[in-house]
Amino acid sequence: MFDVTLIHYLFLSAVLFCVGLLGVIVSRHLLRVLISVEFMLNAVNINFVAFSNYNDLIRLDGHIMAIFVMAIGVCELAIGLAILILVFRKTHSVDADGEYIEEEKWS
Amino acid sequence: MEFAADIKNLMMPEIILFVGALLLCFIGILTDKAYKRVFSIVVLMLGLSFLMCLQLDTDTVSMAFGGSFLISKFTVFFKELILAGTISTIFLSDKYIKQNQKSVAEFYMLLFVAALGGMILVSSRDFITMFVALETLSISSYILSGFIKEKNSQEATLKYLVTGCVASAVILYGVSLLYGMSGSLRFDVIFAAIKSASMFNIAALSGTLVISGLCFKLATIPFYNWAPDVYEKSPLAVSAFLSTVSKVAGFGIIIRLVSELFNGIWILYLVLGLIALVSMAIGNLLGLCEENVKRLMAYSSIAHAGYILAVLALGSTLSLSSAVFYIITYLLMNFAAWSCLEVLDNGDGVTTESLKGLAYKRPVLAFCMVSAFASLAGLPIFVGFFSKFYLFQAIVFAGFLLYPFLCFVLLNSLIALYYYFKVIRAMFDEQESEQTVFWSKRLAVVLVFSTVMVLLTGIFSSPVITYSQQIAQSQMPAVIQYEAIKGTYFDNPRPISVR
Repeated sequence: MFDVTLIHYLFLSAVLFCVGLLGVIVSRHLLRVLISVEFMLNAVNINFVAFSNYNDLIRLDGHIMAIFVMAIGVCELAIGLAILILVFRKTHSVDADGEYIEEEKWS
Repeated sequence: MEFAADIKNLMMPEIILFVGALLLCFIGILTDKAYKRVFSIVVLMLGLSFLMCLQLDTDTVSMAFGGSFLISKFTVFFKELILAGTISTIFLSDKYIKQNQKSVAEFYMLLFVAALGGMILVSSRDFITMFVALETLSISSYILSGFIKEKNSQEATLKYLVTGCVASAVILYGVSLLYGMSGSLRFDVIFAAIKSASMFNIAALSGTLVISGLCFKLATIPFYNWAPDVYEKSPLAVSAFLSTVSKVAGFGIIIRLVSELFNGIWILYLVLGLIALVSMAIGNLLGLCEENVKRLMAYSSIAHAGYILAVLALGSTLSLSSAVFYIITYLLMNFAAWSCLEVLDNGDGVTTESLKGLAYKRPVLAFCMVSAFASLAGLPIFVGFFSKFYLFQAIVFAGFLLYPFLCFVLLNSLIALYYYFKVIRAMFDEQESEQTVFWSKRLAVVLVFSTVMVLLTGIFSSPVITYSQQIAQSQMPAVIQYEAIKGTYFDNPRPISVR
């Protein structure tokens, strides 16, 4: 039977982190950029929880940190979405490549 | 009971800011008109917080909350710098407040929360505290930078936000590796684990990740590209805040991490030096062909952060004291320059074109501006010369192997002369262009105060240098003090066990 060890979790989180970073760099859709940022934060969470499970079973610092990361990640995402709505009101598109033309106020 | 005593004895400055932020939040909900009264409340709160900082006992190192919050001479000094910068920002924001008389209380509240985050950041001794404080500072800065909806600042704000999120993810990845290595998130435990388990490589890797993520706050190399856009598009007071207070907080935590946590990891000093060299080169080269003075200030602040990091990479007491002196003078020069720009800004930003003939029409303002920019360039008499001189001295005393490094830094400050002088030369141009100026008492206070300080500190710099030496000496032996006062929470580090 295949045995899941710490190394596997670390590998998974490293791959997820790289995927998220790649997504931030290459994707043109702004929503996709924000989702990629969440990928990176959650990759870090996997790392924290895995380390906490294998090394620190008494005080569980890693689990606590993971909850903090989740909460603050949501705050960042909320502000990101608010700005995205403003961008959409101005340009009618959420494309990072799109020309930044100021149109009439969207009402 | 211990909790309440900690708050009463050690955290009063932060608590006052927190209460002030809550109060401003309520005022913002109740009324949208009373901006004159709000100003006095805000200044009173910040002044009270500053006084509380001054009366903290800093001769001994003390900790709160089971060792996750540190009060020492160094951290209290950085808190005082942050508070002074915030007070100056509030005086500087007077023009913005008078022109857009809505959401005033919210604007001040966000400044309060950002200052609170910075103050907790410099005295954190635990990665959870550090991360939460860092994000408190960052998130309120994101909102502040997009505060003007009409000005197309969304693009800049979004860039700032995405860069900031990536930077914090990079920091967290480094922290998670440190946590896996030591089994704790406390600085002292991790330091002991690095020393005892000889995990040099992994500490160097994760230290590189943490430091380069924190460089987002300093707007240096891996994460610098937000700075020009954000400085250009956000309200000028916010640009001043981002280029001073938020940078001071970033330097505070980087100095503390390098001297307390990653002490003795030479690869990290190499990384710091590399970041410093590349970012000062990039800041100066991109600044060469810039016409917009607000963007020029952004490039200049990238280069200045590079100088300070360059001297931090040496890791001696002399270099640390020169970095602290440079930070103080950087704060003064930047506020002098930003307040001149705020007087001249007519909403579309200040360009070198629009400055033409200023010296003949408004000699006093031109004098303030010349002293600020000459000081940023590092000319004698002004304070910028002495801070640069002290910085070069620290590099020279570090040994002759670093002479190429010194040559590179010197070359960079020569390049920087060009674009500072472009601004100064435009003011003495024969052609005259129309300028609209805005004067108010509060703006004049910060302008006069920072210009006088730039001149006075230039002439009488030795007390400030002595003070920064004391600060540096109190930080360097911190590791030794740590060993003596290890808290009850200390437990032996456990190395990684792979099942």
